This record gives sequence, structure tokens and C-alpha cells, in this order.
Amino acid sequence: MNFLKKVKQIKLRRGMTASQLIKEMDACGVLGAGKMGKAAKLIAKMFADPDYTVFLTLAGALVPGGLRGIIAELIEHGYVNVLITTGANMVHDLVEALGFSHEIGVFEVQDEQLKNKEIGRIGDIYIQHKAFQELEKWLHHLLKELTEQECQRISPSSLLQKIGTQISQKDSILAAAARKEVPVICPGLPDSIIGFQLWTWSSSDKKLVLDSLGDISKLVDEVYQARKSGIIILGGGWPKHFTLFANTFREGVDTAVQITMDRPEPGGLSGATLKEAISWRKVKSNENTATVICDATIAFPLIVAAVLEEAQALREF
Amino acid sequence: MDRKDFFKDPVVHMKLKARMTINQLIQEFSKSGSFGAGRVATACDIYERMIRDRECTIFLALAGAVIPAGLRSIVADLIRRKFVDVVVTTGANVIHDLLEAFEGHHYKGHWNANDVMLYKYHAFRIYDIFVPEEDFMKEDSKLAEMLDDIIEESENRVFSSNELMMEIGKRLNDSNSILRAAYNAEVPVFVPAIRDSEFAYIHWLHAKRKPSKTSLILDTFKEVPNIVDIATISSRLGMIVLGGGVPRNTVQHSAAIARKGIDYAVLITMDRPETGGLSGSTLEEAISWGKIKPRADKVTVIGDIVIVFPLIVASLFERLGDDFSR
Repeated sequence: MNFLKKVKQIKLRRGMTASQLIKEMDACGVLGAGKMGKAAKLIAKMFADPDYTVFLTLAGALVPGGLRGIIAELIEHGYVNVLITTGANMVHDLVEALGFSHEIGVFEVQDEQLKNKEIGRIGDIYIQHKAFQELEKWLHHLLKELTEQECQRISPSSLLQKIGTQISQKDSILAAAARKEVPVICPGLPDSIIGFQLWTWSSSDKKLVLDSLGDISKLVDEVYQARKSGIIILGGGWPKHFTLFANTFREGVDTAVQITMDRPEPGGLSGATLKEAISWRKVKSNENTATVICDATIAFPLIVAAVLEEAQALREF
Repeated sequence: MDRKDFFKDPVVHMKLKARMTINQLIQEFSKSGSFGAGRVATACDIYERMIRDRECTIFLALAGAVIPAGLRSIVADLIRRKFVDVVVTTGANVIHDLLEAFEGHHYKGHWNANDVMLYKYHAFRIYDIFVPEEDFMKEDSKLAEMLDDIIEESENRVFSSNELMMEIGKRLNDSNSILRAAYNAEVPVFVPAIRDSEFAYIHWLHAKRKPSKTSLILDTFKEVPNIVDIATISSRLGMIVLGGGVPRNTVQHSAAIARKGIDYAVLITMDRPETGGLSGSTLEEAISWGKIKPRADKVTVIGDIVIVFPLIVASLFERLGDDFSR
């Protein structure tokens, strides 16, 4: 067995592009840099091959953290075929669509003071409570428009698609997904402001049945139709688990990239290695996987910028 | 503070373009301004201010396997351009610099390798990097020869770690070597925990074969006034920490002893503060010790150094251009 493949020291140049830096990291080939290089190559492969159905899973405060536009563009340009997300990320997409913004703050702040001023904090981001109140009103109007039949049984993805069609703002993830008919799978929707709003509304005005199982059918259909299956996991949580589990119906994903800060030692799913997923038939082989241990707001934009640079010859971005 | 003061600066979502440069990407990080991306952008701004402040002495603290993992040329370039004025590092990082200077190599491997097999093949593993034992042995003998030459040239001299590093740097001809670059740029390299590395064992093996009078004498306390003097005469102090450990503490402590405190600080680490260890401790905590000034320009990036630091440096090279000198 030949163990010896030289590590190339990274060389930086003035004005180098994202792809050039990623290539240096790939040539270096080890530790975090090597993982970044491999992750970029795997994502480029998924994006370039039309046989791939690309599942993007989102957990954690990625939309407040500045990734909204990137995700919307990936959907808009057909690079992402199915989005699996927490409800909260879509709530934050919606409050921006309604004209509110997330504000840059600091971790070290008096949270009591924020409470008194009706401001919520997510790490070093602030958002006013009013944004959510306005969202509730807006949702209330939208829900009123639902037909009797829709109210009897609507899956979270159908509801989110309906919401997406009502948004005119260009940078919205839900609007892009609705335009491109990219399913937004969200069986955990009740665990979000949208969920609690649906609950209060359904107990007062009309009866509404949210059919979480409906999203399973939709996701499994996508899995069955995929000639090749690829997954990009940002964060972890149930979007990661749900999507990997659905992929057991085709003996696992062909290619997988995950970016997380979670650790495998406590045995939780978010930090679990992709190698472990092989034993569950969620992932086919270790060769086509990469786990980048990094804050997704740092690693993902760098990888996407590099991949788009290379992808330009394939499909105009 | 009014309620509206909390809402001055909205998060602007990042926009990516094909063929964007690293600094353009960092500008997008800056517009987001939050989480890891915001911190990386802030780190670029602080490092840029440090470099543009010609009265500032910039200390680079290096710990962890940053040299085996591909940052060697980057650190050498920073030294060459004087974007770093003083290096404080572990013995191991210097050993890995020298291993490449003596034509040894680090090899791409796998974290999941069979360590028993590696042991049989005399291959050492640093996470997913392999190093052949013979490259270390070659280094041992070359370094031992060098020590002979250094002793011969400087009879009865007692060395500090930084003096020894200069002597070694002078004798290297690899321009990508950190020690050679430091020698050329007259950037001191302090190795406070030099004993905890191959250096100690090379010296031990070397000294055993010699009469005691002609073996190298290294005084680990001798460097203390050197580094404290640098801190004392500097108008302002800047610190870039990659990892933590002894190098970080040495820089911070020197600043405190000099009764100065650090003015600019960038810390990149994956360590956590909860255990109370120095590596993961917050920069705020260092304020209570007088190591960092209360109003210092500072940021902590929680991230893998091998990912984050090349991004920051590439952005700076772009901002400052090739002609900027310090």
C-alpha cells in the first residue's frame, strides 16, 4: 500500500478567485482545506450532472445569517431540486419578504434590555418582534383564501408553495421555489412561528388539517425518480435525518456533502459521520462524501462561489 | 440606548458571482455581518488595520499542526512582506518547517487509516497527514550536523530559542522555509516550549555523543527579556493567534508584563472557553489580566485555521496589492 501522496503548501496570490483558492486547498489535500476541496469537487459534480437530483437540507439560523440570497439563486438556476428545511428558516425568509430585516448585533448584550425593547436575538443578529406580528397578520390573510378542500388536508410543502406564489420579492427562497416548482419539504413546520399561527388560526376560524405525512410521499417520490441522488447538508437536525432516511428507499445517496460544527461523540444525528450513515444504507459509499467541520456561513459561500466559477461553462449562472 | 439603536445595520444577504475574487467574497461576508462570516470579515478588517498601522508590532502565535497542513508558504510570505514582525510558535511547527526544508514531505492520508499498519510501516499520522519516519531521521541527522556547525562558530555561547532559530535559518537555502524567511526579514522566531518537540531529542542524542563542553546550551529564560523588550518599545501591539497553547499565552503575557496590553487581536480557534484552558479562553477574559486593552480592536473566529486563515490572507493580499510594504 502506497501511503505517500505529498501535501502541497497553499500559495496565495493577489486578486485570486474563489475557485483558485479552493484549488489550492484541494491540492493541499488535508485537514479542513482538503475537506473543502473535496466538498467543492463533489458539489460541482452534482451540479454539472443533469442525472442528479440535488437535495439541500437546512437547519440552524442560515437564512438570518446571510445565506438567503445564495439559496434562492441555487434554486432559481436549477442547481437545487428539493429543499428540506426547518420551519424557522422559512419564517425568516418570509419576514424579509415582508420588508423587515435582520440586523447586525453582538453576542455580548443585555438580553433583559432586548426583551424590554421587543427585540429577539439569534447569536449576533437582532430582529424586532414586530416582524413576526406582521407575519402573523399576513399569514392570516393568506389562510383565509384557502379553499374548503385545501383546509381539509394540506401538506406543509403545498402550503409553502402557496405562500411562495404570493411573494413578489426576488430574493425570497419560497418565491424562487414556487416559480421553479422546487418542493420545499417541511414536516416540522409546526415547530415554527408559522406552525403556532396555523394552530391558533385553525382553532378559531376554519378547521385546518396540516398533513405532515404528505411531505413524506413527496420526498420519497423525488427519491424514487432520482437517477442519481446527491445531498448537501447544512447544519443537521431533522432535515438531515429525514432526507437521508428517505434515500434508504434507493439504497442511499450517491454523493453527500455536509457542513457542520456538531460532533459525532454524543451519538446525535446532527454530528453523525457520513460513514456511519453507510451502515444504515443512507449513503452508498464513503468515497463520494465530504464532511467539512466549519461554520456554514463561512464554508458554504466559499464553496458555492468556487463551484459557480467552474460551472459557468456548463450552465450560465 | 434606544430601541432604534439596535436596528442600525441590517443583515444583507450574500450575493455570489462566478469568478468573484476572495476579497469580493469577504465583502459579501461583511454585508451579512453575522455569525462566522461576519467574524471572518471583521478579522480581515482588523488585520488590515494592524498592517497599515506602521507603529504596530504584529505577533503571530502559531500552535497546532498548521505547518504540516499547508500553511507553511503563507506564513513565510507574511514574514517576507513584514505583515508579521514576531513569530511565537511550538517546537513542532518549526520541526515540520525544517522537515520540508531538508527535502522531507508531508503526505495526504486518511483520518481513518489503520494505525497499527502505519506503525508497522514506520509512518506517522497527524489526523489525515502521513509522515515517513525516514524523513524525520534525515532531519535529525541534518539538524545534528547544523548544531555542530553552530557550536563551532560560537564557542561557549548560551543561546535563547530565538537566537538558535536565527542560526538555523541562516543555514537553510529553502526560500519557502519560515525560518529562512524570518532570517532574511530579521523577524525573530520565539519557541518558548522548544523542549517539547523533536528539538529536545535531537539535542539529547547529539549531546550524548559529545564531551559536555561542546554540546549546545540553550537557556529558555534568556528569551524572556527579548520578547518583553519588543513589547515595551512598540507603540502598539497586534496579535494573530492560530490555535492557542503556549504561543498565545507567551504573546499575551509579554504584553501584560510590558504593562502595555494588546491593541489589535485576531483569534482563530476551535477550542472552547468552558474548560477554563487558555487556548479556548475569550479575548474578553484576557482584558481582566491586562493582556488585552479594554478597548482593543478584536475578534474571535471559531473555525478550522486551515480554512479560515488562507481566506483572510488572500483578501489582505488583494486589498493591499503587491507593492504595499511595511
